[in-house]
Amino acid sequence: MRSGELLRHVEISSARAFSGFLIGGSVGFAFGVINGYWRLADRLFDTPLQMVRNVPHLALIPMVIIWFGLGEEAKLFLVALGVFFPIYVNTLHGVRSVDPGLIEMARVFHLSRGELFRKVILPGAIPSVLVGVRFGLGVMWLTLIVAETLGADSGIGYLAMNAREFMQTDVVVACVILYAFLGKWADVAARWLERWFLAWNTSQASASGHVR
Amino acid sequence: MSRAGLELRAQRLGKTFGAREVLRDLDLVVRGGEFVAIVGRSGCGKSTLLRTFAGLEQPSRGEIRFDGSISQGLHPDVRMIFQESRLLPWRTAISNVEIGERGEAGKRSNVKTRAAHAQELLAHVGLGDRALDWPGKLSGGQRQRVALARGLMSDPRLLLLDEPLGALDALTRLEMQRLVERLWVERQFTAVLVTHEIQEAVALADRVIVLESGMITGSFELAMTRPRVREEPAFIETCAALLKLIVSPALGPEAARGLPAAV
Repeated sequence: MRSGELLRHVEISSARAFSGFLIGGSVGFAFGVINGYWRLADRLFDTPLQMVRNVPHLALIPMVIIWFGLGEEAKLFLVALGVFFPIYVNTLHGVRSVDPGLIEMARVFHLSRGELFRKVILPGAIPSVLVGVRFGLGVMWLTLIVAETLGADSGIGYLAMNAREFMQTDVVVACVILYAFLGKWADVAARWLERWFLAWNTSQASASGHVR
Repeated sequence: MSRAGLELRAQRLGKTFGAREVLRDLDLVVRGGEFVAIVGRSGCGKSTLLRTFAGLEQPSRGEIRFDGSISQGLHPDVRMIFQESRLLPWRTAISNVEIGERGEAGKRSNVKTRAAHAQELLAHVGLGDRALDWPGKLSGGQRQRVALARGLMSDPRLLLLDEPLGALDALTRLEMQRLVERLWVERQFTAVLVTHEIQEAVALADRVIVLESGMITGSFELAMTRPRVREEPAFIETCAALLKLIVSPALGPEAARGLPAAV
């Protein structure tokens, strides 16, 4: 393998992973906030979403291939779908579990709806959202590995599959190790986010240890 | 800074939760600038009464008037202090105080004066050097001080205090009572304090109202000079008489006549 080629595959895989994460994560976050905030939206959307959630998203691979073919869209869709649910469920939980006492306080102090959302509900939901982000990152790599073994011509998954054809065990092992490092890197990033967002939470150190 | 206190007038006020009647036909007038304490056993409806004043609960019957005009729920000149401080844990002490500034029109003064005002209030409650601390790093008493500063940020004309010192230890509570009294004297707002501590009521109030099963069963003017000394006989006798009244409500107004003449 030429030098620099490995780096190119890592870049492609990372780009796929994070694009999928961004798409699935934002949609999941938006649905979580809307359904947590408005009862009507929750009645409309939660049941269908929970039904889809109970289908393992990798079981949809045959369908995804029919819909999107073997191109980039299929991989992005799978990653986004996988990431959507942990972020949706945790955001919903976070918005709902904001201390009602604080919401009442906001009423007494005449905060506007927008302020209530920005200053009370959103920051109150962040710890739970970040738990969702960490779960989501795990799902992200897992989904990508599977997606890249399906008719890809680049990425780490493709490298591993290709190496298997030529019995290059060393390359396969290298790919697995690479995945481990990328996963660890994502986790470190998530922890960093927690430290940044939850500086106010004095019990943060003990709270962030057991999210997996 | 000394806007006159708001006059509160409750007429035939009633509140029911389902079949449970929490407040019955309650009449109460709190004069502007007066400090009224409402005492009673837990479950007598005193917190519900205060929440109704605040506009957090709608009365089932009767009406509440502020300075003569009927209350439409939350009033811009009314603020409430809760038993738990209810500070936003993700905002620093000073930023929590700033939350309190809000007029009726929703207009805020510019950021600089707001911050200066908040800092001034924090210093006033003795926390000038803790402005940038997270609420999680403050003690219970300090958190209530921040909550007090937040409550005063908009210069309210009526301050409702729902057992704000109930969760504090005895020494801190004494300190806080002095602070509440000082702020009330300086700023001349109307204050309604709900408490189960008779001593606290006698230490702070111009008038103590006894509430029993949603009805007012006693109302006592306290004319003792301020600051009140807990060791004085008049103070101790007043507490004893009030306690007797609350513990044995059957005595009703009869017991009230037993209050010491000096009070």
